[in-house]
Amino acid sequence: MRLVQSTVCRVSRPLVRLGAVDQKDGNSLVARHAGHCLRCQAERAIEHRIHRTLAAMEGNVIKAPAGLVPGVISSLDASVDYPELEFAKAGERVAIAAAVVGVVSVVAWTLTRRVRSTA
Amino acid sequence: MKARPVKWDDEHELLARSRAGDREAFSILAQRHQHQVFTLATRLAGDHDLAADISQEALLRAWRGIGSFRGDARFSSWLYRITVNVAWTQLSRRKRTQHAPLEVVDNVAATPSSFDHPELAFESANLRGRLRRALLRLPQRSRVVVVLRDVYGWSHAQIAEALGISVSASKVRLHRARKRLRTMLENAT
Repeated sequence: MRLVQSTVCRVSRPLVRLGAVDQKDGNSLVARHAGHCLRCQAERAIEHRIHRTLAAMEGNVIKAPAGLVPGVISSLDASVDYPELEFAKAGERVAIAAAVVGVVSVVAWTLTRRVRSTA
Repeated sequence: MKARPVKWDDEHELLARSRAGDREAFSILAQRHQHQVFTLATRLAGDHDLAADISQEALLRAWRGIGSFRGDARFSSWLYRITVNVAWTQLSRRKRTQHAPLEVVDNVAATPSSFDHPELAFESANLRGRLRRALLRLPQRSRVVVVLRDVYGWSHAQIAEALGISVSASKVRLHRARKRLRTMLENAT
């Protein structure tokens, strides 16, 4: 009987854990078993505690280093305004694309002319 | 005509001014949220120096992108998302496995325990310490998912979007990470 009990516990353990953390009822058979089984109830209680402790960590704030924000602001002052930089980059890309298209069309036109003249 | 004084306690006003390019307003916003950003970065990275880099980059990106912030979500949520993105990118780039001394991360003011009994309070603080250490020993990919889901309460959809993974991948990682965390806690006792 003890063997059967422990096997059931082993099978239901992951579901009991999941149910404890995600507040799901899960399988009714597992729930019924856990309702009577002290081992599974202990398992659920441990999982609850771990989850509660993890969730409580959100409230524990770690102080940022004193120079964090001044560092950010000074790097903003040192840099070019980003929107302008982005605009410059976009303009550069358009110019390169136009140049490539131009070269390709000249080559294509030259090749077409040569083919026509030899034909 | 005299310029209208800034209401520094009004986040909407600070946001509006930051969007218009007011660095002072943005500086106030950054100061207000820096500790939360740094805390999240530290939890994700497990390293104070790296967390400082991540926080700095996140605040810079926030400045660059503040024009696109429409205010549908809270500013802090938006900033958190940026922090997670930056952390994820930097962690993937560095692929570090070594972490800072744990005392640094543990050096946090303990929250008041809900237990009145001193023994239970001690046990709770003990569990907190063991959990922090176990979290730091988790592989980065797993730790990020556990921190976002179990500490910050993000949904799998939010995690998946921030990390660029599928919802099912997020679920699988969380399941494995929790299992690993539990094993570490059991072995630590």
